[in-house]
Amino acid sequence: MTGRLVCVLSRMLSGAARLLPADRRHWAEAVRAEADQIPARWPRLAWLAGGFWLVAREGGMTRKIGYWIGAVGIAAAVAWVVWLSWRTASSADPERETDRVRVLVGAVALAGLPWVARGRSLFGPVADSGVARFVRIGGCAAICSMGLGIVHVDRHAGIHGVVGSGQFSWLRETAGLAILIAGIAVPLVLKARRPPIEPGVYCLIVATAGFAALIVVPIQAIAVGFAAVILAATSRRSPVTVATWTTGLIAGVPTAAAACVLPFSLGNLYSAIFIVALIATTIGGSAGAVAARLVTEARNPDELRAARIRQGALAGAIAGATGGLVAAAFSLILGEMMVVGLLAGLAGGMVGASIAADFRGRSVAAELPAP
Amino acid sequence: MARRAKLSAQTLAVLQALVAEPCRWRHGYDLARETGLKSGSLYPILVRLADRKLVEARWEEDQPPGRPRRHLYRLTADGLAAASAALAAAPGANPAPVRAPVRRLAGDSS
Repeated sequence: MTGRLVCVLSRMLSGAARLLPADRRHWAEAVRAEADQIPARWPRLAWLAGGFWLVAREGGMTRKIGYWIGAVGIAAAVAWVVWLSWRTASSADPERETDRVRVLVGAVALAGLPWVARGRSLFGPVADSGVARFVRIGGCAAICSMGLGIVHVDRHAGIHGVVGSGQFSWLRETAGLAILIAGIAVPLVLKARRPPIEPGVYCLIVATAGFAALIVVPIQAIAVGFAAVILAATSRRSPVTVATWTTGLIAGVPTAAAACVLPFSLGNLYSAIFIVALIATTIGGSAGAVAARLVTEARNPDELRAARIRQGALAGAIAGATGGLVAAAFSLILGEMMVVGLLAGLAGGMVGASIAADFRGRSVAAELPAP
Repeated sequence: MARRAKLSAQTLAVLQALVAEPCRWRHGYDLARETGLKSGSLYPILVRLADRKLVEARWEEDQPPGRPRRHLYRLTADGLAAASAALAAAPGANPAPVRAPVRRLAGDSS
């Protein structure tokens, strides 16, 4: 019995070796070749089992499997939220149609953005780090949670009118959708047809479209914007380093706590937003300073300073955005925190990173390796 | 300045086994018996050491009768220097889990 099992496992290990990159396959073959030298059957089985562990480890299988389980879970949750919005919304709710469109736009953004830019790797595939996978799954889950919040509001009417006009308008929804599509499609088309365009032009187009969409269809704009930012920031082309992600996410915890607690403890949303903005700026500044100092590699002092400011600003933005996203996932009425947290964190991160990058200016040159 | 990663006790055990006979090509089962490590621990260590160019690996040249060719390992010149330094710096100079043959190679039995 064990002899046959050994034979089957040996063949399976040979097949599993193909899951490894070409330059790693010989390690799995090495384990398989050694198995024949092990006399007893159970130790031979244990040896072959070690080979499967090697394949899982070297192929990053545990992380990949965890990521794909998370991705399938998100897809199922999105489908469930869409189904809920169609099946359980009260017909007496004046904002029912508007909320259905909001949920549908968010779902399409999560599912469609990676497909739209698949040829340019703008939104995918995910970067090869555990923190990028965690952020992508966690961020998409938070956006999905916002959809669930919309459905919850629909089922328990009483706070309608917080966002939007309350009346469904084809004109407004169509115009908002057109602006969102233009904000994503125009830079992609321009980049494909006219590569020499300055990066600032793309940023201007996206920022203009985002601002216009934020006025016309705020919930959809925030959902699509955050989905796009999360997918782009966690893709392989993203400039965000693992150290920046870690710093920003850790700094995002107190920001999230403040954004979740203050509105309810103060009893005034706008006072809470103001205080949260101050907190996000301060914490974002600290995160920016830390992330900036963690950058130590560059070819010259100017490049080092620029890299430090870039990573510091990103860390501050991540801290603020994390706080806002967690708050919005916690309660839909805190959706404003997403924009406020992101902008305040970005501003704080830039200031903190600039101070940290210039701190003890002479040491910048000293930290660089000799040419 | 690049920081030197701290080596685990298992990695030190593998280095200790390899450094005892640096010119001899060793195979995986041989190393596993000497260090007491399972294949799931031993091979990832060998992969890391080979990635750092501390260990070189090759297949047996001739096809032996009745069994497949084995994958063989030994320290590179850099690997020998790094292993000697790491073992000298290891606390207690007796990294676990090390079985009796390794202790003997490390000179504990003297």
